[in-house]
Amino acid sequence: MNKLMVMTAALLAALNALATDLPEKKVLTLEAARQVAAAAAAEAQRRHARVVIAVVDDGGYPVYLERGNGAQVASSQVAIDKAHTAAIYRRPSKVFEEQVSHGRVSALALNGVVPLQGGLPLVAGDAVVGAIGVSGETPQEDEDIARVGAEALAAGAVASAVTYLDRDAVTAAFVRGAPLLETPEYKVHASRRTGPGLIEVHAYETDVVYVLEGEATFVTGGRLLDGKVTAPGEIRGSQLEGGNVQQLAPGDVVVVPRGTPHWFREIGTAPFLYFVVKPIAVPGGAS
Amino acid sequence: MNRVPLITAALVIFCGSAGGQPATTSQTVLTLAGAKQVIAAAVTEADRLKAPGGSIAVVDAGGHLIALERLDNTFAASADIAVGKARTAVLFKKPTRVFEDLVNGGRTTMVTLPDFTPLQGGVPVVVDGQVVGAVGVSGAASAQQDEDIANTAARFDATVR
Repeated sequence: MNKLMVMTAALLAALNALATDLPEKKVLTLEAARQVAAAAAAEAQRRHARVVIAVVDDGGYPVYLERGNGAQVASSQVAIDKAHTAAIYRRPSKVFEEQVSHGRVSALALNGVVPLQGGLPLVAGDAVVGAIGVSGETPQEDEDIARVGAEALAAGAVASAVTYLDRDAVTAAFVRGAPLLETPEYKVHASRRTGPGLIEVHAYETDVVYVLEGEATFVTGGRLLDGKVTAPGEIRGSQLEGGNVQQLAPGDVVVVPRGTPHWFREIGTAPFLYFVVKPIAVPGGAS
Repeated sequence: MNRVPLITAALVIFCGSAGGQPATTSQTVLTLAGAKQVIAAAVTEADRLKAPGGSIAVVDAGGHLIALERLDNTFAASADIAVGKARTAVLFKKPTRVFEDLVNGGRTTMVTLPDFTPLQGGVPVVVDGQVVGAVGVSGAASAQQDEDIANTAARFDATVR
């Protein structure tokens, strides 16, 4: 080994040692930012609040923003400014609003501070990974909406948004036929049928069906003659005019768009097991 | 059912104004749902092109931000640049490449315009012949790729959800 190689090896070893000494930090992903904003947006919608929601990283730079219809246009920048303040000072922007209001006017001299309530740090574990800023309504309301977003992350709701169900849980659900997961945006069912069902129409839910076991006669479309509303957006009946008849067997996939009548008219081989994903589209809902 | 993510601005017409001309006209307005569609189209295109990153900003006809997303690992400054490109494209109703070419071609004085980002990657969003907003992209592999993504996103179909 010549001298140069020895020196290079030593240098690399030193660099490696240096690298392992550097701490790692958690970084806010776009997907987590979207979910934080979605939680806040749902809260804003509940309150009929017209706001801008901004999510920034721990350096205060924007990762995600949305301005609800009807929110004042200036709020786009104000929401970013509030979030930026909360991110780089690692505290709610309200702290600076209170300092200034209570006489510490000199806080206005702080670099990068917009002293307006409505910005909150996003905390993952013990680290600030970013911030959320809301603008458009009263300062308190802005912060309340931001808090719902911040808590979604802090409570681990965002991380736990990924659902993992092991095969035992799924198998158990199919034994009796049961929902696996239900959220405002979609449902996932492990469905089981041993006999025919009522004719169904879902106003908001599209059924994506994957047949696992058994055989069934399935009718889609046509006109439901005696439909009754049994729950919001849910219509049931027993008389169908027309429609397409399909024989379903394991491996088949059927997609029934929302608003389309469908009917398990006959179960040929029971039990009939099928996995269903139901995306939900509520008219006028957040999108 | 909200099939068309565009609303038409309030139509208030005063017929008694000077010369019998209406005092106001109406303009199609880009909604948040429409802006999200534009961004989704851009994210899909960035993914297809295997872009190393990208910030995508959508502004309304006044240049005000409606929606923004910065893809993971995209450099932080790109968020503001994307907004600047979109704003420039909508306020001048032209792709920002036009201004990059003008400045690079010798009209350097143009950079003194206020709030002006003469960098390729901003494209107006046009619906039924009206500029309803713009999309700006920054942080992809090149200025050309920024613009390619923006062009694809700007062609979103306002009638499909």
